[in-house]
Amino acid sequence: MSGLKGGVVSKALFWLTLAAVGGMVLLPILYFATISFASNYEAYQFPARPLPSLSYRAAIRGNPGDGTYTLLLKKGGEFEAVKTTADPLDLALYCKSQLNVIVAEARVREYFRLADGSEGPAEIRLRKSFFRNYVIFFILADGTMAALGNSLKAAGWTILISLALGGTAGYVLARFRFRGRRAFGSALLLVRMFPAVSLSLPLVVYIMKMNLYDTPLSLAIVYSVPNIALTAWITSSIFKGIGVELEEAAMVFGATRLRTLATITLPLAFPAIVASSLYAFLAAWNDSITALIMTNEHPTLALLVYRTVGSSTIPNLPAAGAIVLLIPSLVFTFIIKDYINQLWGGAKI
Amino acid sequence: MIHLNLEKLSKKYPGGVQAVRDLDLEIARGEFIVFLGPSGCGKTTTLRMIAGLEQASGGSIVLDGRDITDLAPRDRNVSMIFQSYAVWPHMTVAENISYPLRLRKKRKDEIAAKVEHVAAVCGIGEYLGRYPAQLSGGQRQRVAVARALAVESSLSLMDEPLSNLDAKLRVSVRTFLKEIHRESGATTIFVTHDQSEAMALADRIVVMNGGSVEQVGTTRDIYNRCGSLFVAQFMGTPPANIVDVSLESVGGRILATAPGLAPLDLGPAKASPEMAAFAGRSACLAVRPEIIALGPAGGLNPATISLVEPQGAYTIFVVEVLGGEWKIMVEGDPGIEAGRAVSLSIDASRAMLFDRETGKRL
Repeated sequence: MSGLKGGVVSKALFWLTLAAVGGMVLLPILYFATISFASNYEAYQFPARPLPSLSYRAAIRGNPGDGTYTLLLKKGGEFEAVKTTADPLDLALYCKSQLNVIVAEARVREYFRLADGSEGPAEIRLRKSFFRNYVIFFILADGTMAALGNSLKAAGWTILISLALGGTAGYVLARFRFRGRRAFGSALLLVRMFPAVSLSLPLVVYIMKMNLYDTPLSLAIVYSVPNIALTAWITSSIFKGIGVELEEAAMVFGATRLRTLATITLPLAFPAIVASSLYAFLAAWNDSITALIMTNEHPTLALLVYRTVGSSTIPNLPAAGAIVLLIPSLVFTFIIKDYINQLWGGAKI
Repeated sequence: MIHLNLEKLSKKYPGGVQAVRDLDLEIARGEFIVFLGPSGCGKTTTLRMIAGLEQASGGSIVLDGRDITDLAPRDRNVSMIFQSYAVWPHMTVAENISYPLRLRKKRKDEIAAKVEHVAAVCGIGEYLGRYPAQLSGGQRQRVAVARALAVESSLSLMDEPLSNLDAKLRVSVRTFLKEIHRESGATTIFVTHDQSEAMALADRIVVMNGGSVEQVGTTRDIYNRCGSLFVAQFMGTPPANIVDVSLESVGGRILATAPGLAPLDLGPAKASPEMAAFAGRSACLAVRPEIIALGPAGGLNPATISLVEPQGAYTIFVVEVLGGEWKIMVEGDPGIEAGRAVSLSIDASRAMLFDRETGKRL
């Protein structure tokens, strides 16, 4: 009986904890996603909407006397006047910039005629251009595409450098007995103690001498420093798990060392390689501080989003940038999650 | 005809450990050789040197008249079965078996036919598409055997291939390996620390100890005519009982005596000059458990039974005699209980005598 009771309590605790953790992680992301689809007008509204809107319930009213028209938007239960003008183009521009609604001047004239013909305000529906913030962020803003390219290049280089140097170090740590092996292993971790900023400041001098300043490669070099160590640790643990006899068998049955590496060792170490590249990718993709120091005219996407946040009073554009920044990380993580499970979940090799 | 010749083969590790010392061995084509010895005796190191997985630090290995001492493993064209099977987990059974053939750039249809054939021989024909993780230990073992068979090497190396199997499977795979050997005719070197495996499989057994060969011979030689005290103590379950004796030459016959032991007539001095030379000195007498017979109390060599271990077909008695414990093996179950006083009679013609200093057979 007590066992059953304990089971129920622990189950309830499990779900509560899960819900709390999920809420802490997911709610801010959901809020951010909603903001990223909000128009300037919506971004200022309080309380904020939980989910993004697709269109506005609006009305248009002719003001007899001065020949102007007023646009009203439904807020709570009532219509609220947001813009009064006599010029259709003025109203179209307002809709575009503040409401993310693309509406032609001719169409606005139609609305005016509709208002003229009706007793009170004529209700209309304004369809939102849903991805407008993203379009602005990517196409209308300067250099975003270039920044995305820089981010991808920096991440790619980081993965390559980390795997090439860290992977070989991991293999050596796992397979060879040499004097100072343990010290070497600990020294690798020591490297990770240094904050990226303290590394990048002195490195800038050398990067400039190497004529690499303001390039994705220079960023990758800085990102790789702590990642080589991490990669060496992850890969050495999995190389240790791959029995030496598996490699020896390949060599006895006719393979060269290189061939053994390519057909036996690397395929078996694939989960570790994938996991290491995930860490390398995330380190490069998420960084903005190092990029702030190491780049000038060629920022990464993360740095660009950071700059947007600083330059804008309305959070919707930076939010769109942040969501864009989030997507590759999520996609990458989901693609490789099975391999990570293999690594940490311990599929026996 | 000599197929593999090991000459003064040595292995010294950088740390200073001498794993193998001046090993000389000639192996005939098609022979089934078993390296037998306790762990650390250098048997696996020797095998690995033949495979090329371990660099010899001295001596030479000649296979088919070709010196292969310094060749890379892949250039030696030997096949090997590993203790852990070393079946590659990321390849299917078929891919595992065909890997060596693909490296040898064989034709596709030829490979397919070969894989099918050896898989059928090893009884894993229906598992070709499976991954090793989906197979039992015994089946994985068969994949390793099939892979070794597929390369059709003239020299087959086996490094304790049965030690990871359970006791029942071990016996059946043992028989299977012997059949495989008979059919393929490949010279086979089999490493084990299990003497029953060695005795069942070997044409010749190489007993190793401390990096050196103690004795090379057939099962019968190794068991009945031990070359050294070590072999006498190592072979046999239970191993031979050892007692220090003094040798005397009495009336042209050699007698072994010890306090509490009735003088044992070891035969005419003329028949064995080595033994005769030892007259008046002490030596080690090895008495196998099955050459001792139990008699009623009051006879020669009084002893007390302290433990009885019935095994069905035979019974092992632990007896207190000569201030020590001996093991005696008797056929069937004579129904003698622990605590009983008995007497022992020893078949002197089958007892073995060794030099105490060198451990050599007299």
